[in-house]
Amino acid sequence: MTLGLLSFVLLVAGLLIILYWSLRRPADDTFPETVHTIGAEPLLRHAVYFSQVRQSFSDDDFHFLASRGSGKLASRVRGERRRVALEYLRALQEDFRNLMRVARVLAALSPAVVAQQESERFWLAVHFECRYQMTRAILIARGFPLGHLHRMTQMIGTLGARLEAAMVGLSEQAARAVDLASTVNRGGGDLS
Amino acid sequence: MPPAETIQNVLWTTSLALQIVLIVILFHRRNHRAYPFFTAYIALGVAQSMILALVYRWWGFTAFRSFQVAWLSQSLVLAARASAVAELCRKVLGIYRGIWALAIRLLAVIALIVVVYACYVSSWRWKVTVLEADRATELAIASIIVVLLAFSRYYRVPITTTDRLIAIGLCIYSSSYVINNSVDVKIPQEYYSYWNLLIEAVYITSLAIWTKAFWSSALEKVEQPRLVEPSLYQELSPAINLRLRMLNEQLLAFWRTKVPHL
Repeated sequence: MTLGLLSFVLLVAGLLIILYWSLRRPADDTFPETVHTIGAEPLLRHAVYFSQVRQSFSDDDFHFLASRGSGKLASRVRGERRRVALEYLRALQEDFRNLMRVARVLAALSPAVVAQQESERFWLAVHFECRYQMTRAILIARGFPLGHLHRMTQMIGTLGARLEAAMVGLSEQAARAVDLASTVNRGGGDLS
Repeated sequence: MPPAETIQNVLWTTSLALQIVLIVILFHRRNHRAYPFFTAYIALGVAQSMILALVYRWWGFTAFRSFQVAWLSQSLVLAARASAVAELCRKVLGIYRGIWALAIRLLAVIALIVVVYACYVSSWRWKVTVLEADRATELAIASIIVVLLAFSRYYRVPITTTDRLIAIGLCIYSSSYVINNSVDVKIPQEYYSYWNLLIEAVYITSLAIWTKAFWSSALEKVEQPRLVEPSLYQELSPAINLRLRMLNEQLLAFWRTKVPHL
């Protein structure tokens, strides 16, 4: 088989795989008729609970339990921490997907979209999914390397606070925009 | 008569019969108004089959004039096919003005890349130029259909069953055609007629899919979406992207930071 022929076979195989994927019904198969339903549910449900996550990763707590309790207890705590870490990851993914869904509906219902923003969002989604799957696999395999929990705790705290503030801002912005759209609609104005 | 030739005739008759049935359905249900280019494509396919049957009977299969007529008619059918694909793209995404403007640029770029790649790989051997141009176009058609469906899935754009089935039929046939053309020139003469049966069988499958698509009496209607004002997108989209970036950062922090006691 020549290289040219092989490349065509691979290309067609790739196309058929994407075709199969495209024809599968997505899990969140909903397409609201209007953008008004965007604000119907909270955009981020989990990412705002960073303080609790931070607490569960507390180094002091672990050392205290490890020194006072048995090895069995330390092992149980370790298991619990892994579970929390996995839950935290899953929650981040759910929030990310919620935001993506809203962004896609907004883009589909907009008369003009900005290619740069759409491509940025697409690549963000690709990066996020790759990182999510890798991190999850490593956590499940218990292969997470040892290091400085304190640094991570700080990061979660800092980013969490920024994200919380940003989400409040976004919800207010979305509510204002949807209100404005409703007003124009009620007035018989053509939004398109 | 060798068995391959008998099977070829049976398949050819079946495909012609199916094409005629499809044309009748399209006109009877008045779907030719909604799908004018697709109807033209099928009608040209019927015309091509009939013309080629006569040409081969008069001049024989290997005559140069037969070759010329065959490729000329093929180029017309191919152009009609490409128009049917463009029609499908417009039907699926056309009502969503914002993403349609984005999609049309993306599809054009992809088609161009695929055609350039196909030409590059085939090194432009002039003896088989028509065959290779044909393959490049079919590959571009298959790619456009796949990207269209992926794009629609990404933006959760609803697609009617009819459009979905048309897309599947077009994509399956174009993909098979690319493989068929790629292998064609490398196949020994004695197996050539057997190999060609495959593409005929795939075409019949596509025709069956399209017949199913138009079989039901009424076409599904996609509700016209109520578009929002442009400022809503301009205001919210960058803000959402910022939050997505932050979530990504959050995950990256998790990924980079070394966590003990897990």
